[in-house]
Formats: sequence, C-alpha cells, structure tokens
Amino acid sequence: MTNTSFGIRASLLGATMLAAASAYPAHAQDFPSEPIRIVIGFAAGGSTDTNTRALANAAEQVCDADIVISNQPGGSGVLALETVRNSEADGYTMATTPTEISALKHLGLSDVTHEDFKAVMRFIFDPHGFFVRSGSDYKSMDDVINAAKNGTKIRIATSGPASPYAVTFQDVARAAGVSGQFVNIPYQGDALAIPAALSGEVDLIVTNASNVVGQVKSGDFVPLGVATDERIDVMPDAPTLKEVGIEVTGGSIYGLAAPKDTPEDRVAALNDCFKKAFDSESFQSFIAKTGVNPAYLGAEDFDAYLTDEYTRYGELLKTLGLAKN
Amino acid sequence: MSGWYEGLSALMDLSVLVMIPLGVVLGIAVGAIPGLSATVGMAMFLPFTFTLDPLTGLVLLLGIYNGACYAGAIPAVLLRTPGTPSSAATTLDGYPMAQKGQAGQALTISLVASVAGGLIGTLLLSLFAPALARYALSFGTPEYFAIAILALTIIASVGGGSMAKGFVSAFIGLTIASIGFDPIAGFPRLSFDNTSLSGGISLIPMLVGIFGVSEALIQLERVSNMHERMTALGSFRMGAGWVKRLGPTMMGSTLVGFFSGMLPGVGGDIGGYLAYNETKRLAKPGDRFGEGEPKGVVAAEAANNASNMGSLIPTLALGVPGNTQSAVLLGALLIAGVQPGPGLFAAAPELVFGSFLAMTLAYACMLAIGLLGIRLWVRVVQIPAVYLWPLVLVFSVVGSYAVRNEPFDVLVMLMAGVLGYLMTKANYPVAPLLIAAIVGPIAEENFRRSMILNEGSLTWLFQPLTATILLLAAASVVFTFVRHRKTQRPARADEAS
Repeated sequence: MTNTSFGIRASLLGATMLAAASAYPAHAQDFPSEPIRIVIGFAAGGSTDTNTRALANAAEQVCDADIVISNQPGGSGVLALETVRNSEADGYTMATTPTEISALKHLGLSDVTHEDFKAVMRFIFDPHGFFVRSGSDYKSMDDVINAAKNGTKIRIATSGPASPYAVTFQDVARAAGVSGQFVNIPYQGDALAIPAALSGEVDLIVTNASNVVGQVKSGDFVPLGVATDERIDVMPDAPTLKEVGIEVTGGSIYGLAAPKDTPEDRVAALNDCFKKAFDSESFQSFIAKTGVNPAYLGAEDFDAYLTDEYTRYGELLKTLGLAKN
Repeated sequence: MSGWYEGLSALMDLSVLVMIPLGVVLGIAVGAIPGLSATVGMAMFLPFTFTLDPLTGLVLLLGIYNGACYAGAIPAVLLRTPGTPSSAATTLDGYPMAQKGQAGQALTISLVASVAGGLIGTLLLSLFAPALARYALSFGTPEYFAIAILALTIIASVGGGSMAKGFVSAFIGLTIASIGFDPIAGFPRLSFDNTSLSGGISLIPMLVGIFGVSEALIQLERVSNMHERMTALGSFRMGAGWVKRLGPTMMGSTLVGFFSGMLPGVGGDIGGYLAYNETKRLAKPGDRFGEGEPKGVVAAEAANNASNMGSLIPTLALGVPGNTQSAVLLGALLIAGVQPGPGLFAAAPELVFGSFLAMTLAYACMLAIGLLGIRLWVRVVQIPAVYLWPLVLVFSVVGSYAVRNEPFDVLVMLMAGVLGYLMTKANYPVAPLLIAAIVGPIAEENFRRSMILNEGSLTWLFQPLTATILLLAAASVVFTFVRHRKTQRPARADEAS
C-alpha cells in the first residue's frame, strides 16, 4: 500500500516537473515562476511557524512570489529536514532550519546536518538567557559561578535533556570551569519549565529571551545574563553574558535553507527576495510586536555560522555525555 | 469593576459580535470530525486573525476552542469515536446510551453539561484568575506525580468485568507510551532506529484507531452477519428531575475539570477521566456506569469544558500556556502586541474582560446552535451501517493524516484499530490502555524528576500536598476493590444456584 501511494506521488511529481521544464527554460531571470514551498518542521501555531509565516507573507508582497507553507512536525524538525534534503534542488523547496540542526547527528538521531543544505538566510536569533525568580539568592552570574565553585549544585530548568538550552549552560560551565556543578532538570517544554522556575523548584532557568519578556517586565524573573553580543531591544536592562565576563553566545535560530545542489543563482535570488521581505515594514512591525530578536545573516555568513555551531554543539554534547557521533 | 465596563464597551462592536457565533460554528465543525482537534482548527485560523484587531481575533479563536471541546462529544456518543481527545471519557457511557436508543438524550445532556461546565468555568476564571495562578504554582513536580497516580487509579474502575483484563490493557498502554524519547535521559526507547518511532506515538491517531476504527470493524462484521438493526433516537429531553439527579455531578465535575485544567500539561482528556472516576466513586445504588449512565456523560463533558477555562489561568495570568490550544492563543496575543503574564489584567482590561464576556455569549450561542443541530447530527445513526462505518473509516484516515501530514500516523491509526478490535473481541476494555498511555508518561517523568531534585531521597513523597493526593489515590483503589467484590459475590452465588 505504501508503495502505491509513493508511486502515485512520484509520478505526479514527475508530471509537474515535465510541465515545468517544457513551459519554462531554467533561466535565473524566470525564477521563481512557480510557487515556492517552505517545509516547517514544527506544528502550526508554534514560534517557528508564526515567525516563518510572517516572513513568507511579506515575501509574497515584496517580490511577487507565491509561497506555499506546509508543516511537517516530528523529531525536533528531523522529518521536515529529511523531506527537503531529498527533494528537487531547483530552489522551489526550502526548509526552516531548526536550532537542533547542529545537534541531531551528534545525538545519533539522524544523519542530517547543515552540510546537506545550502543556507539561504537567517532572519531571527532569539538568544538564550539565564533567569532567576525575584528574591533568589543569586543576584548575578558571578554569584552563580562562585556558588558552583564552592561545590553547590545549581539546578537549571530546561525544556529537555538534550535541548539547546543545556548546550548553552554547559558552554557557560566550561568557560567558567565549573562543569559538573550545573545540573540539568529537564521539563517537557518551556510551558512547564517556566512555572518551575517561578515557584523556586529549581535555582534558575535557561530559556529563549522572548519566552519570558512578560515575566521580566513584571519583575517575576530577574535576568542574570543573555547569551548574545549586544543587549536586545525587548530587554534593554538585561546584561549580556559578555558584559559579565563570559564569552558565550547561543540561542534559537530561525532561518531558511535549500537542498545542497540548488544552483547558486537561485539561492542568490531566494536570498534577495527574502532579504527584501525581512526589511519590509510588515515583517519589522511583526518583530517589534512579538519581541523576537531580528538578526539577519546572508547565505555565506549563515553557512559559516551553522558550521561553527555544529562543531560547538559536538564538543558540548560530548561533555554533557549525550553525544554518540 | 472598571475592567468589566471596558470589556463591555470593547465587545459592543459588530465585527466582534459576528465572530462569536462564527467561532463556535467553526469549532463545532472541527471538533466533530475525529482527528481534527481544536489545536488544528485554531492553528488553521491563526494567520487569519493577524488581520483582525486583537479582541476580534481572540474571540474567534476562543469560539473554536470551546466549540470543538463540546463537539468532540457528538461522534463520541454516536460513533464511539471521540472527536477530540477531551471527549475520550465521554465514550464510556455516551455510546452505550446511544446503543440503548437514547442517542438524543445523550447528545442533549452532553450539550447542557458542556455549556454549564464552560459557564461556571468562565465565572471562576474571571473572578479569581490572578489569585489562582499563584496557587497553581504550588503544584510542583511531586504534586504532578501524585495527580498522575490518582488519574491512573481510574484503570481499576473502568476495567469492566475483569480487573485483571483492565491491568493487561493498561500495561499495553504504558508500553505504547514509552516508545520515543526518554523524557529525562533524552535517548530514544523502543524506536528500532526508526525516525518516526523515535518521535513517539501520537495520541490522536491512536485515539481514532482504538475507538473509531475498531468499532467500525466490529459493526461491519455484524452487518456481514446480517444483524443490521436500526438504532432508535429516543427523546431529546433530559427527563424530569434532571437538575436534582444530574446537578451535583455537573457541579462537582466542573470543579474537578477546572482545577486540573489549571495545571500546565494536564488537559481536558485527563480532566474528563478524573471527573468520571470521582463521579463513579460517589455512585448511588442503581447507577450503572459503563452501560449508559447519564451521569458519566455529564461528568466527562462538564469537566472538559471547565478544564478549557482552567487552562486559561496560567495562559493569561502567568504567560505560560496551559495546554496546546492555549499555546496558540498565547501566540495570537503576542502577535497582537499584547504581552500575557502578570501584568495583562491591568494592561489590557478591555481585551481580558471583553473576552470573558464574549465567552459567556459564546456558550449561549453554543446552547442554541446545539439544540437546533442535535436533531440533525443524530440522524447519523440512522444511516445504514454499510454506508456509515466505511465513511467513518475514510474520515479516520483523512483525520489522522491531517494532523501533521504524516503517513506514519495513518499506519498508527490502522494498527490501533486492529488492536482495539482484537481487544474488544476478547473482552479486554480499551479505556485503561488509553488512560495509561496519556497519564503514564506524566507519572514517569515527574517521578524521575522528583528523584533528581531530591538527590535520590524519597522524602518528597511525604510532603503534605503530595501525600494527601496519594492517600486519595490509595483510597480510590481500596474502594474500587471492595465494591468490585460486593458486586461479584452475588453474581457468583447466582451462577452456583
């Protein structure tokens, strides 16, 4: 039964490609002449979905492209990445790049890495931050690190055992020389980790800055450090880790990538289109409202970024005892 | 008080008022189709709300949220297939009622219970949200474990005739639930290096398969054996004296649903089962749970709608989603430029109180639409079985594929269907399987996290709140055993003579 359905799909795909090939010779200036498909590896309604849709809406307006979005959630974005890796490298299919793309192969969950793709652009970087509840004994990152150096275990809430948050706090532990004193307390997602940190069940929480903008504004959470180079607009009073002497950056990324054999000129055309969308008024006002941190990287820079992250994740997951490859 | 006034004036806007019935109707449509849940419906319409002003968009999404929660009961009663996971407990007595020729009454009862649970929930939410949000924070990891154990004790009471068979069923459920990532250590379990399996078994396809598909197979088999029979619809009235008979159940279940819904991660499905269990424990002589007892339908449906309202407490007052549906609401609020969290009630009173008032109107709409619609929906059971059940199969395939466009989910649904069929044939109850699959992972994860937080010591089990809930769970089990023996003894005596 599975064979039949795949057969039908393959022949349909073949027919579409034939039609496309005969009607439009593959010249860059004709691109895009058919709808561009973006496969999102997370469920509709989540942050990756809403951020990507906002960008796609803007792109449809500014560069005269039809964009079709499909959601294929599963395995931290693995299913969508595998789909796009195996699809036609003609620039008409892209995947959103989950933060986990730097971790999947190290964790032995999939052999998919950034090397299977050509990076198109990064549009949002939502930095991880260290937050404690108001009234906590820890008033600064120094307090936390000193306590750890004196042998106190620091219990840190994250959204899962191998979540990118754990990689970031492990990087901080490595930089400060306190590996082993930071204990990961994994919850099933931020929705359960945030209340645990508010109630004092754990000592601190590492999470995306955008997740706790409201709690920081109301004073329920105190930011100790945000893992980015410059302070972010939505939390102007929150110090960066760099300011407090820790050279660590890390966060959730939202970006686009095409299959690795996609022609350069098409990648350039895609980048051009989505850069315009990024700069558009509609996307910038979306950014301002939702509190995520816009952070554009062009195709080459994004590719270099993903390469560095892949190495960094590999090292840190190894020290966390989670790496297989 | 001024908040209410601002809410009322914001509500007096034509576009907002139009969205109230529209949302409810859309919600009923998604909720009634097995496989399509409230989350899918809300996510579908989320992009549309970007173009609306905040209250208008929010009212639409809330309408879908609550409409779907009610409508999940319709296929649960008529086809033994919960339209959304929240209505899983409704099948226990709703479907037997329909088979006894009381489909009309069962639908009316589920509607009235949904509306009552929702309205009381809205009232509690609007009066006490900020205070209750603080209270919900006192439920930490150990308390979650205790609540999960309390919910698991239901297995003993929904086992039907044989308690042993109930436990076998629950064991299968626990095994299924342990497929996928280990929640604490982060490694895939029972995945056999298969990406789809390592993602775990999704609840909705399993639910659709184990109830809907297995029932379709059983009914089709019956048809092929020439046992076609027309099911009577029965009266649509709830019967005289229902307030006295069903009122206490409605009230109690609303409270159980509301307070469990307040805990992030505890949804209407668990709320429904918890309320069903408490109702059953307080049963009076003559109540026949599992054989079409109206109280069972009331308990499940009042609780799940109240749970919807409860889950809005952490969503609005803490800025933390109470369940997957309110995660979509949270997204909508953020995109509208509103920051949910402790400051929301002061910062956007027109939005908060406007949506509370809108939900009250939405429940009134739901009652009206429901009462009109019931007579139509109930005709489903009069469709000849040879057409009806193949249609159910088709919808099951479409519905489980639609959740995330994953062929694997269809496979899961079909296998769950066969499993459910075999179990029903061998007189194994399927409800324990489902309860174990939903609640088991919560129990495991919170037990292990409690152990980590307490560095291997078991003292956390004796914290006052945790210990109280665990004692309640133990009492529930003892009680069920005693009652089980009481009902079994006379039956055996009859057989002997």
